[in-house]
Amino acid sequence: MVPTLKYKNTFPVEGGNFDNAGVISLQIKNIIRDMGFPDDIQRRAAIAIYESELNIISYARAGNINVRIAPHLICIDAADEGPGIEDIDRAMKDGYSTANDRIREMGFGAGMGLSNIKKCSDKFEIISETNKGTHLKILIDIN
Amino acid sequence: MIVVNTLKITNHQTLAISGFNPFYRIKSCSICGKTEVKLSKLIDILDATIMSGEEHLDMDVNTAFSADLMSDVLAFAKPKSILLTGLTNPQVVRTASILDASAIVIVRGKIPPAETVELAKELNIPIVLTKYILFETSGRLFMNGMVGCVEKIGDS
Repeated sequence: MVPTLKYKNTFPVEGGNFDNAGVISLQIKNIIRDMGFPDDIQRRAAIAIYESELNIISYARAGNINVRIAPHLICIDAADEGPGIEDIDRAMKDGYSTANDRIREMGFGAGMGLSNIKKCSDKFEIISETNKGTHLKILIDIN
Repeated sequence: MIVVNTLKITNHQTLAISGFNPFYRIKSCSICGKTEVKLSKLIDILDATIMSGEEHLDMDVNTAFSADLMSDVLAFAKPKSILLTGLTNPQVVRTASILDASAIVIVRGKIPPAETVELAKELNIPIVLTKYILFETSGRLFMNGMVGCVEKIGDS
């Protein structure tokens, strides 16, 4: 049976524009809080979305973040048009990064993002094609 | 030989003084476990000024995370901690809000741009400015009973 969605929205993310980094994450966090989900769920979802936003802004030309919330599940899909990830196993390792100086000046690009998303999610999948783009599929169970 | 004298200073806070170390640290209360550092006390300790969130002066600030790497803050900081950093961009405020950090202390005498302060007001997060360097800021707060929100990575 397909669970009824409580919320569904898709947000466009512009590559290279750090000004709005975190805006989608905070908006969703407020929505999840208003739905009465526990603090831990709010925070995990917010971190996963923030890291996804930062990835698109830092590395891709453009992307979309789709958020669906069902009574027992939060589903986040972050898909971008960008360089893709050449070696996913390597990218998942803490500290591995291809970030440029501009990203690092902002305090990001330390190579913690993908493993942090994994830590915050109950199911995490990366689909990537070099020179085409990356799709992150994140699931958070609500118990 | 290490001699530790314990001096009772209030009815629920003990001050432990190490006999060989010139530095001492106020330990948490042996009865209730609280250190009772309020934001107002933190401002005193750091000779600091508050830029936003004056209404939160009475808030407890017992744990902290110090870093200039927001990536690490996102990966390791725990909720309700204060964030000590030398970065001043608005993303610091968004990162703090996403993590439920209770306040931001900007170190090394840096002045945040107006948009950072505006965002902090909007998101209701206090920003405190100190001229101490990050090491001194962390050390002074630690000596006054604050602790890291995690001690070592790998601990949960």
